Amino acid sequence: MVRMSASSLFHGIEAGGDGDEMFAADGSVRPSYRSLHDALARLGEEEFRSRSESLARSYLDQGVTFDYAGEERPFPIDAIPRVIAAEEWAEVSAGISQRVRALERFLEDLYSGAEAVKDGVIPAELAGSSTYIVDAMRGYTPPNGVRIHISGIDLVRDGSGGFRVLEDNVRTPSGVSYVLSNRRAMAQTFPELFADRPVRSVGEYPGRLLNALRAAAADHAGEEPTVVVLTPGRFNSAYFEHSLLARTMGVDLVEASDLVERHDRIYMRTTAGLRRVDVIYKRTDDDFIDPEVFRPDSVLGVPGLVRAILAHNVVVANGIGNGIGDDKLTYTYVPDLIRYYLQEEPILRNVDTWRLEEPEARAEVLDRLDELVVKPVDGSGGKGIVIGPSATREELDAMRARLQADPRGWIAQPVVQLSTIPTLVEEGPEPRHADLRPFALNSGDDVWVLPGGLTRVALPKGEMIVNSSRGGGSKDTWVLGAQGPTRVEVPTSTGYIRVLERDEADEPVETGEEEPYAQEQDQRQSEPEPVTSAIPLLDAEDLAEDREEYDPEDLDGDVAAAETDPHREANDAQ
Amino acid sequence: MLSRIADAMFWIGRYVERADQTARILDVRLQSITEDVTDDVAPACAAVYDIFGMGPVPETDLSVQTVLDRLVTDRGNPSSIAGGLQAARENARGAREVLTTEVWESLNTTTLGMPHGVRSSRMHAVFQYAKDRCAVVNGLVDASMTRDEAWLFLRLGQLIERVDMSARVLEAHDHEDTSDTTTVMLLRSCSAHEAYIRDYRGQVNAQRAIGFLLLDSIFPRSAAHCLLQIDEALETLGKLHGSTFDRMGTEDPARRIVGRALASLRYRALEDIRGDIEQEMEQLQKVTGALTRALGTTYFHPAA
Repeated sequence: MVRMSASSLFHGIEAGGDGDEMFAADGSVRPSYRSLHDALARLGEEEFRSRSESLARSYLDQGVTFDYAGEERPFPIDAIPRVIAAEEWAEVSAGISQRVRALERFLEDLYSGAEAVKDGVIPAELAGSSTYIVDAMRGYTPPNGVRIHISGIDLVRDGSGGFRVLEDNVRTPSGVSYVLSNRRAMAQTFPELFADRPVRSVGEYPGRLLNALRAAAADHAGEEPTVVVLTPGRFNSAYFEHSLLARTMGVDLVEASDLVERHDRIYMRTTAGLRRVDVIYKRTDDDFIDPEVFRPDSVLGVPGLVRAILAHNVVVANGIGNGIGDDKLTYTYVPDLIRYYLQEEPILRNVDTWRLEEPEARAEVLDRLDELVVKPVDGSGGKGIVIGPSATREELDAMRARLQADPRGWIAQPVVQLSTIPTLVEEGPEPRHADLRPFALNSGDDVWVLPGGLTRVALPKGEMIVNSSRGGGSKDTWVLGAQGPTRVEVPTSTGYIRVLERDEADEPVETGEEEPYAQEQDQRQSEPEPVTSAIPLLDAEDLAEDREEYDPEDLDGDVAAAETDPHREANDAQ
Repeated sequence: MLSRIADAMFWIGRYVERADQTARILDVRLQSITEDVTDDVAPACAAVYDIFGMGPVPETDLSVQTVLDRLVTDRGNPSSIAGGLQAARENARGAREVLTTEVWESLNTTTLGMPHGVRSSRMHAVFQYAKDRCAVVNGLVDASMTRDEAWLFLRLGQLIERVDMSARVLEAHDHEDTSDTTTVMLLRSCSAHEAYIRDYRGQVNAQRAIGFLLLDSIFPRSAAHCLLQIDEALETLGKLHGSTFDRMGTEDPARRIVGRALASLRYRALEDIRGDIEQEMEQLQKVTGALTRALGTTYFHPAA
């Protein structure tokens, strides 16, 4: 009878499909989706399609794009949101926060005494064999102790419907800009869908991010530390995000050539000379960040940055050397790390994983290779993944040889049947596989999880890899407001049960009309900088030597390309 | 503000103005070529290329269609309309955090909306589109941006480009021909015809037209007006940077360049300038180049 309300819009979706988030196996609409489903059905297929098109067009107009094979493309957004119930979100949120806290402790431990190795929680080889440990950072502790200011931990729903952790991203997780833009675009294009549904707002993110970055500054930076976002440049695939975050936080977006190190301090080049920088939100990979320590050929880095960090004159977020936290072999130990450091039971479970360096596990994996997924421990963006059931015999043979040669370089997992969500394709809404990346911010006092997160959806039928580099799209993710306080129980190793209660009644919800970047305006209201702060921070004597080294060519960088003005050389050559 | 961003703002100003002016000039010139069947197309096209410093071009390029391909839709040429808009948009993409969202989106849609090819029968619509859209961009800049450094650099780019373009049009003009038709064409190329007619009660005269284009202090496209505005913007910029009171008004190298050029145009006899106007206009273009370099030394790539 509920089927009936599944009007023509959802006619293409067959009942009994396994693991769909909107439709239960018997074809009925699940409770959390009911009002959304009815509102969508009321729109009718034609109206829904035409608004979906204007949604796509608005992304092109706004320049919400990502770089795909050197080409700027609009990021595909699907108009059917994903809905997550308040109680389930409380669990996810507590689980993410727990995981981040454990990973923070783990990084602190690894870069100081490595107690976890001495206590036998993780094997010495894990720490010893990872290419991600940065020796230069050993013994360094950031001013407020935080290394994972921003994280994006990927979750999937398995066959039984519960969320599991697929991988940790504590280096440079991207995608939060799409969470903000998706919400803004959806509220503009489908305002009536938000009516009567208390969807929790995502607009707080930029303000929270700025607070977390400010909190990371050293004490001597004062009340108003200078924060910048460091981007590899306009040709980076996530440039749109770097720009949006800088803009919504009201801070400068700098490229490496805008920064310079002098006397173990970092400055940016402004129209009024050099200005001191206290906190850098880096979006450049560690390998490229400082040619003095990492790749000497990098032009995306700031020579001397690591020296400035070690001298406690600048803080970089996320911490340099966090890569070991993303290592997929580390991932397999995170549940143990949670028990070891926090004395708690993991709230979110891992996907079952085989460690290939363990002989029995390796034997089993080699035997069942055609039914498993094999991933490189240092991969991201879906690169290097081999999915057994869809691989050819040759691919499997090649994989087998590589596993035997380098077992430390790989992990294996069963094929997880990702949940599906109805998604608009040519033929109408059809179930497509999706994952979820919630974003968390650690200010040192508290790990805050953005109520929403990025839902990525694989657009080709049956495809399990959702990355945008593989043709994936995204959906607005709705966390419903709770009717009353939510409650999560966390068992601890002492047998005591820790209860997390939260009352979200006062949390902001989306109205469908509100400007989601309200934070932007709030920032503006704070005391403006006096314009006379443009007086250079260094005396001319300080720079006497450097001046000779100055090479104007260095500054031009890639911007000059857009400004080449061939036929006007006559003027400039005067 | 960041030097790199200041530089980008300056070039956004220049490129939008360049696209706008190019559309205005081509609209007038190409329309007259296609209307006038008695005229030889090839030399008229060569004259058009000349304005944009693209001469000499091969014989085969001397057709209206090729002018359209190279100066309207060629995105690889920053002096074409589409190319200028593209360059402005690329600079804006690198400076999004200081532009308002409205300005960025307007530039972005303008660039995306430029056609990839155009026939002469439909060219007026394309010129109209470019002019309208540039007006929208400028209007949004005017209405939504704080008058801070970023705005000042954008404004400077726009004004400098405007002077440069006027100088180019005047240099390429055939000053031997003082007929009304040619003079009207000159005025229209600089979007000055209507303003001039109102001022001089319909009396078209070559000498007065040149005086109007160079010296009129209240016509917003005259060289003198733009130079005055440039000087004002430079003064404000200096104050924002907290430089001590510049009593002589001569400390900023850029202001000295502007002041000299302005005095030279205004206080010499117009006859003197007209005597060798091509040379004079060449000099005026060099002034805009020198100004750009002076801004570079002071603000875009300061030695620090």
